[in-house]
Amino acid sequence: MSDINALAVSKGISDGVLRIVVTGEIDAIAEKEFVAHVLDAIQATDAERIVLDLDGVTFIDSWGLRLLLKGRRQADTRRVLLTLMISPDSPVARLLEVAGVREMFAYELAD
Amino acid sequence: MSAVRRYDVLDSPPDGAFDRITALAARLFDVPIALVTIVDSDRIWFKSRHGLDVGEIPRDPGLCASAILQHGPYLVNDATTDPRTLANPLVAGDLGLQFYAAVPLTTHDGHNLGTLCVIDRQPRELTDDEVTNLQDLASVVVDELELRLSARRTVEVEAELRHVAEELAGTLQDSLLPAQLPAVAGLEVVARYHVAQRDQVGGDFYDVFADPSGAGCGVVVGDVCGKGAFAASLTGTARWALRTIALGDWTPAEALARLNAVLLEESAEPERYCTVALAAVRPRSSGGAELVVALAGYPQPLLVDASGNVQRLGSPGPICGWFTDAEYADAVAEIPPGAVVLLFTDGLLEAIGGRGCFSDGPVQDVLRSLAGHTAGDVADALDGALPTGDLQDDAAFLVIRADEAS
Repeated sequence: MSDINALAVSKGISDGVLRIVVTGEIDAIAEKEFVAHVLDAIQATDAERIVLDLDGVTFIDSWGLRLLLKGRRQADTRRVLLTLMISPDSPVARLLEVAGVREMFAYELAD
Repeated sequence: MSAVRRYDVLDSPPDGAFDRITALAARLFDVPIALVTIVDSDRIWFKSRHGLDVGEIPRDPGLCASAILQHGPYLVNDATTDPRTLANPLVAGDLGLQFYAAVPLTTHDGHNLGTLCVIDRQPRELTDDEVTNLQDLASVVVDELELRLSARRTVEVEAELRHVAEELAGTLQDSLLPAQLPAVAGLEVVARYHVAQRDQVGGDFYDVFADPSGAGCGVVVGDVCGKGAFAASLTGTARWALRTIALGDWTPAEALARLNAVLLEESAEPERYCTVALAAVRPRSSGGAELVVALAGYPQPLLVDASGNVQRLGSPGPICGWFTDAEYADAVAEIPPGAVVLLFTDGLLEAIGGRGCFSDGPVQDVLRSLAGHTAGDVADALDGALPTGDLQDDAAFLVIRADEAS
């Protein structure tokens, strides 16, 4: 039986933009998946820009925020622009707001 | 005998595995009766019996008692003529036993627990191959017994480890929280803490310390990301760093900026952070209190006055221990006499509002219904609003009530 809450990641690259779409829940249980499919992709990419689409994330906790912050830090170190795609009332947006780190990320609007 | 006790097999419930072995033995040797026996101090108990209605017999006439005294198979081809058995009541009596072949159940450390035996009412002889078959079946019985023993040990060890982990987590947890809150004139302060998993140190913490200036107190409620030992070390660092910082002149925003620097500097594992609400509360002699609060990645505390008006306090600031350029702001609020301030970790929002809830609406509803009550009443009501059973996340909160003019 597949878990509908499980983290799922898909990736695509076009015009020098790496687009990573994450759905499901980002918490300690999902750490391994997130590291393998998101953080390692940020580390390895040749793209000039990364769009992390988190609009399909249904749950995120403080451990998940830590993973996002690691992603931002990695992108900074590699001098790649990382932008988040989230709608304003999504769980990720609300957590970033509460954690006081909203302005630490760049955004583009969800389609 | 101690080996029999160790395997704890006497009077255990029927077990399909052993019943299959005795049925198989009866078929294989074409005999009416096959038994797995365990020899106790005064009886022979049948762990499995095929073709026999009695559950146990006294040890004295039992052939199995003789069989376990030797190492190899014990064979009686015709009991009516065999000098070892001809006077035995099982042979001369109703059972009419004539043929008996047993192999001791020898454990890996050399103890004979009982036998696997096959019995017939007419004389028989076993070939060498058949004796080997019986020995192999007896080994299968011993393996099954060993398997049960090790499974039971695993369960016991697991239970013991869990108990130790819970005790350790509890002790460590206690060291991370104040043993008791200091009494502060003009204020009633109540703290509550609910850990989601008892075998893990929670990620939430709180502290209340008297302000060295003599007026009022500092209150802290925080949440470090993660749980267990990883979280505990950060919790300890954060709590004691804040206490140390507050020994000098401080405002909450300054203290959080210094805590941020300490965590960035001290943290052996850089990729972790905590969220903190820090407040300085100074009661006024005329009743009520002044509260200055700064927030680091923390839900805004709520103030509810005696008429039930709820207001959010403080301005959101970034998490502590991650950004070198984090800035925090002091917000000043007046707590009217009889009003209550609630500081809480996000675990409380989820516990009361449901998983993934970042809205403080449900918590506000509880506060509004308790307007004018004591801090203890408010804390009890919040406890009562928590779901029964295990929480998803730790939840900590602190309730402060400013006294009316005395």
